[in-house]
Amino acid sequence: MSSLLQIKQLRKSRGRTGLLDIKDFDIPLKKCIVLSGRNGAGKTTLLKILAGLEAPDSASFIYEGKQLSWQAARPLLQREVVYLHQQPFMFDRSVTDNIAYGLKHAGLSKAKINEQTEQALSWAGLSHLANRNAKQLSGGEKQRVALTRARILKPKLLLLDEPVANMDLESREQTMTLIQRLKFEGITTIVTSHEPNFARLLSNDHRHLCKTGPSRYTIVEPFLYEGNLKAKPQVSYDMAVNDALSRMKATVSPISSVNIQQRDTKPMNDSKTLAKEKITAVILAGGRAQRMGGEDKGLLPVHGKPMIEHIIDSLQPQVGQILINANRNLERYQQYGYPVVTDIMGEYFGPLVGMASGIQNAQTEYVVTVPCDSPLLPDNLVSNLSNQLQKEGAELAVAHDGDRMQPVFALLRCDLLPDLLHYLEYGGRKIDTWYAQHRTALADFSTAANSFMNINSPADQEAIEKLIGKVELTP
Amino acid sequence: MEQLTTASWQALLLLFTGDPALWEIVAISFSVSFRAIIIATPFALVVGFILAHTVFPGRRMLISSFNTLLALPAVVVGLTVYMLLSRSGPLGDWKLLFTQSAMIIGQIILCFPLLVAISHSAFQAADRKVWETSITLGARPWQAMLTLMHEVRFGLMAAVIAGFGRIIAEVGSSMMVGGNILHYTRNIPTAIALETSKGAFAQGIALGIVLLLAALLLNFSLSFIQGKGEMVQ
Repeated sequence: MSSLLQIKQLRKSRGRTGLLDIKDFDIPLKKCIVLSGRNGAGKTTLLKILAGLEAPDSASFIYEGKQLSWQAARPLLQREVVYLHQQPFMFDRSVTDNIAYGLKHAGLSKAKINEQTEQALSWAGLSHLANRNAKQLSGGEKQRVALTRARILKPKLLLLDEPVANMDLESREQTMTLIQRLKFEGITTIVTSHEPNFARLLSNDHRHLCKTGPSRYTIVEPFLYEGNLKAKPQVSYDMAVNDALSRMKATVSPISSVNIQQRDTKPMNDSKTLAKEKITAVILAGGRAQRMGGEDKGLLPVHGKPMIEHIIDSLQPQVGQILINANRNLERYQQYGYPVVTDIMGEYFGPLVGMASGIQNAQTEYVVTVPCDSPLLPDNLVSNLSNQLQKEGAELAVAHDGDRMQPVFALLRCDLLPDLLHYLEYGGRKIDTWYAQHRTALADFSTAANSFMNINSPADQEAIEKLIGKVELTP
Repeated sequence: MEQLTTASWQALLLLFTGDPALWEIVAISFSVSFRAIIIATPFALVVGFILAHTVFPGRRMLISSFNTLLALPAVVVGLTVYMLLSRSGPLGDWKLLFTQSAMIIGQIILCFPLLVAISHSAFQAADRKVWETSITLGARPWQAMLTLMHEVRFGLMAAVIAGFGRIIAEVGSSMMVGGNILHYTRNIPTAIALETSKGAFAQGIALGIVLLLAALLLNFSLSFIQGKGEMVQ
């Protein structure tokens, strides 16, 4: 897929409020990207940079294959990218003159301008407003005039900033219909929204401005699981519009109910166990290990080799891929030949962030997470979890040792990521609380309760050494 | 009191009988001030725009200086221009002293700070979105500036009218650099000053009435134009 614009190493501070820190943001040609993020995450600032209206502190651009500095990119972006404000500005002139504004500056003949403007007016269903002063229109009408005013210029990239925020239902529908039509005309578009469900209405290409530290935001790509895309049948234009409209109506009801409704996807009973290719294991080695004096637990030798090696050995036959989540000693972890991912957010925010980082980087439909300090993993960990998940049609499955839940031993669907990020961004850190918001299956491991023993003190280590010794002697 | 009444009657008579000498003075006054304001306005608006929409070192200082210059006394301007244009002055070779051009120069200097200050605040009050929308729709910076001027046109008109009001009525600079030469550089304010010192109040009052009427007309037209603009919501 060719890309229209790629931004690398973008940094932009905005006074006291925050900092955009984006390593790589790729805008593919003829796609509609939905950019979500909470209020204040820098969505508007990012769009204004893309439109050449605001200067980044530093960035490099690859525009239509050419590597450009900001100075070189700016005039191009100003000319070929159109940015729409959340509340679009209407010039103090008629609707017609507003729509013709850009064409006049493009040096077209009067006859051409009139012709195109008239077409545009009827395209947007605005002909009856042609002679009205655009300043006197309602919010929804202004938004439609602004969309038409932008479209008539055939921009290379169209940036819509919260186009349906603060709108009544009818204006929302009309605006969404126009956006859908723009999408079908193949105009590369970025639409921002702070509503988590908005992305699903419009596009499969979803990016999220994610908080990764105090006043620090970067772009992540939440919908990594491509099965979602393939599963969706190709739809006609009308179908897509109707579909979007009906789903949009649904968003007016409380978000939680929509979540449930949309997660009621087809039951996946066709195979009892998930194919292991569909699962990535994420080894959570990103903790601070405060109780162990800050030692990196994954690398702690147990029975002759670092703990993580034990874990890799027992996971390898069970899953398709392995990822290691670590925040220290990255080179040493990399020696094992598996991708090492650091926390996408904050500093030592806990295992939930590690899980999110793993899902973020996994290429599969499911992720299974394990801690790095339980070297006695059961052989049937993944199969047991996945059976239970399939059986109950759950979104995630967690191990239970007979006494209590072992929350970090879990199998999760990767499309939980947007929700997980949302939870984390709003300050949620507790695994149990987040699990409670989803259909959770418990997989019974009461016969292998020892497997969940973890190392938090030298005494634990000794006990486990003994157990490992036994295990290895038995066969 | 009686003197005032008779003088006023005579003044009205002069006005309504179309006394050519009186109307010549009026014509000179308006022609000089119109030319001054027409020359000053474009530059002043651009300066006002730059002060409002760009960031450069010394910008705040410049804004303060223009605000200070609002209180510039006309006689000081007259003195300065006189010294510059007098035969022994640095611009003496231009031979402009006691000409309409000299009056225009003086009036430009007088109205410029006012135009800058009022247009600057008009530009500053404008929504940042005007500029961004124009640029993103493909306008070049100067075209975006014209669009912005169109959006704040009522504020700019107020600036022009205020500037015109200042120079049409000023006497100090015109008297000093124009020389109050009949048929050439004698305008309304200098004529009033002269006639008053001669004790010929009638013509002075008549000219005063013309000035007042002009001011009235300007302000009515301004509020009429503003009435066509959007109400504040």
